[in-house]
Amino acid sequence: MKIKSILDKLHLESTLNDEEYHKLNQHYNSKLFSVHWELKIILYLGVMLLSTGVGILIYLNIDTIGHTAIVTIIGLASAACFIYSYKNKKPFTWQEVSNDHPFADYILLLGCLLFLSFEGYLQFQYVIFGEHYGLAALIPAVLFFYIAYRYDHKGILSMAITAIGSWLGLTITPLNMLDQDFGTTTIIYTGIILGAVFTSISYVIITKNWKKHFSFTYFNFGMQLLFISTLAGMFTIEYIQLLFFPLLAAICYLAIRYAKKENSFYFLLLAVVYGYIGLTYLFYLILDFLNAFSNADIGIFYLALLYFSLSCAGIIYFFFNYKKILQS
Amino acid sequence: MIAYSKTHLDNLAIVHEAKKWHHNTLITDQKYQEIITNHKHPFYSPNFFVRIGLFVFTLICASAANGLIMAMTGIIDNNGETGIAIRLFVHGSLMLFALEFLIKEKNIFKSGIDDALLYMILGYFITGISFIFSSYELDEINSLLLISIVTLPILIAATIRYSDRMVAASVFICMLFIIFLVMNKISESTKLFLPFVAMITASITYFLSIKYRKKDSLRYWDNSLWIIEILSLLLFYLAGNYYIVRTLTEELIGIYINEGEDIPMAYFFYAFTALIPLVYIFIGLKNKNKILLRTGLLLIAASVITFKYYFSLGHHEITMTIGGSIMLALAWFSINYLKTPKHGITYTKDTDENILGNFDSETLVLAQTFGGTHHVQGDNNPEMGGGKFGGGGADSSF
Repeated sequence: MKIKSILDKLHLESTLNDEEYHKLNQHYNSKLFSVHWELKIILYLGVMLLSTGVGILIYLNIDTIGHTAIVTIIGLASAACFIYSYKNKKPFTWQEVSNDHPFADYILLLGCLLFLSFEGYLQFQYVIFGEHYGLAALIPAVLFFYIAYRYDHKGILSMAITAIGSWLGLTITPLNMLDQDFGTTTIIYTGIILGAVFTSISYVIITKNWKKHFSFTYFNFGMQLLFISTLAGMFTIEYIQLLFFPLLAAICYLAIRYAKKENSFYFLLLAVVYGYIGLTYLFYLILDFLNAFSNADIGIFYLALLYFSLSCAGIIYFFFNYKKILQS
Repeated sequence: MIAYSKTHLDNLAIVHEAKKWHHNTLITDQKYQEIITNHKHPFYSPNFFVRIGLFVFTLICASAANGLIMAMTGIIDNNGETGIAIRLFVHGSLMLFALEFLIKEKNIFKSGIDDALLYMILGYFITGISFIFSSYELDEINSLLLISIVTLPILIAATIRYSDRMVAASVFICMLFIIFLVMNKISESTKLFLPFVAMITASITYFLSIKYRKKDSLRYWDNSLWIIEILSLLLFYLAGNYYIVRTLTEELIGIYINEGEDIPMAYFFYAFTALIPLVYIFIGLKNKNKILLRTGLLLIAASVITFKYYFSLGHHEITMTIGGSIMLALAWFSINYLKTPKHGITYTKDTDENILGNFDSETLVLAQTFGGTHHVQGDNNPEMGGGKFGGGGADSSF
């Protein structure tokens, strides 16, 4: 329905009085054409293309420019970004700070990215940290946490959390989390503990009102880590794998509770999807167990089809009635 | 006609607009509540994330249920291809009944369940049709042509009944495919006119979609016409894009282009490739048309890649650096220029517009490319409105 005819209809059935009708008409007639997102995307792509292009240029011309010059340039550029941000900083508060300058966040981000290249370059070329790889990962983590809190930047907070993860040997970028090498059990337990820590932080900062709006970032990282590590434990650690099922159930419960409280359907979906993967694996273990005792191949095939149709129907029913189910 | 109640669809649209007015404090809380209570609709249209979940789980559920029924009624029918086709039609019809039942009784509307079922039904029917024609032992072009001609009315009927964007897009693509096959069949030389036929087709569908989008009686199909509008713009450009024309000339007509030679009318296609995106952007800005503007911006990239492909000096990094600098400079200049609105254009965010619902796409892209995390909150759904789930209570707190 076109806005004009909606307005006319509401006016006709006298839901809107003359004054409101004219006010709304006025609003649409005087409305400006916004190119906000178009320019933002061009800006973003420009930053991406430029930084990649310069990166390749430097890489190709390393013989003529020389390492020292490059390191100096990157370091200076990073420092320039930080100085710019420092000069334009706002007073620190535990509340959310809104930044009215459209480029300020980008410049700070650029500074952090350049710092990472700077440090990486130093380590690669001059081995300044020697064998202390942990230290090399910890420095950006600490710096980014400070910047994230001082300048109120959620993106850099995410980078800080990722850096902490890599300090402990975990890859925690959103799409690469599953590429983890879960070959050792240590990494699974590290993931579970770190996930639990981040999740707890997200609760603490809400109650203490310390930058409350960071809570989502912590909770998201914490939950993703918990879910993936638990599933990895379930799939790979033999003998005690059944112990991970109650843990997974508890995490799902936590995620659904958070989803309900914060009205966040994203976590509802996470809980259902990860929970379903766990449940299906449990079902597979049972089938495997049954198969070892009897040779009812076709029966198991039927059972699997029945499981999928019934369990998915159950989940559809849950999504359909989640408000009712969650309220009880 | 359309499967959903028209009154309810209108109410949904009204509530959707009222939500924006309320958000921009153009109407009072009281008036907002009044509009919501006067325009109730029973639709179940969940949040974006729930919709994804429902879509995936419906696909698994329906596939497993179909498999179970097939397994129980005998997997192997010995009637060959026709037997398989009949089976697909039967299962497709079963799902069609389920879909109609759910729409009628459970009031699902763009909920993930109906989308999934609709695509599965169409998939089953079209596969069934292909099985039938493959048993006739026709040659490839004839059999493809027959399948497309039978498929087209099914897709059109589905678009009319369910007003789904994806299905509308497939109508457009199916139609193009038929035109292409027919031109292929007529004679070898008609293929030379393929770009121009495509351009004419695109112009016709574009102006028809524009015309019909203005008709109030067709408002329930606005989504479908919208996708046709975009696809027509894309087709018009692609029909004259140098890379596409050259590749098609080589592949279809078998003209081999030697070093130093070029395709017929090469300069026309060079100019077309370079100018059309700019024309789109210019008209888009002039007429305040978002679709033209965004398509034009997207196609600039396509044109750059096209020219790069044929006239590259082999220095991609220089192109990237220069391109990036130009884009940065352009964005910087435009943002500063538009600090105070000029010619009715502004840099200020349009409060009525939310890309992907409440999806914070910008942060998402930033986080992935720079190695952070996503920051997504799904809580405010423009399609949810009042009704079943607590009306205005569904409002966002973020």
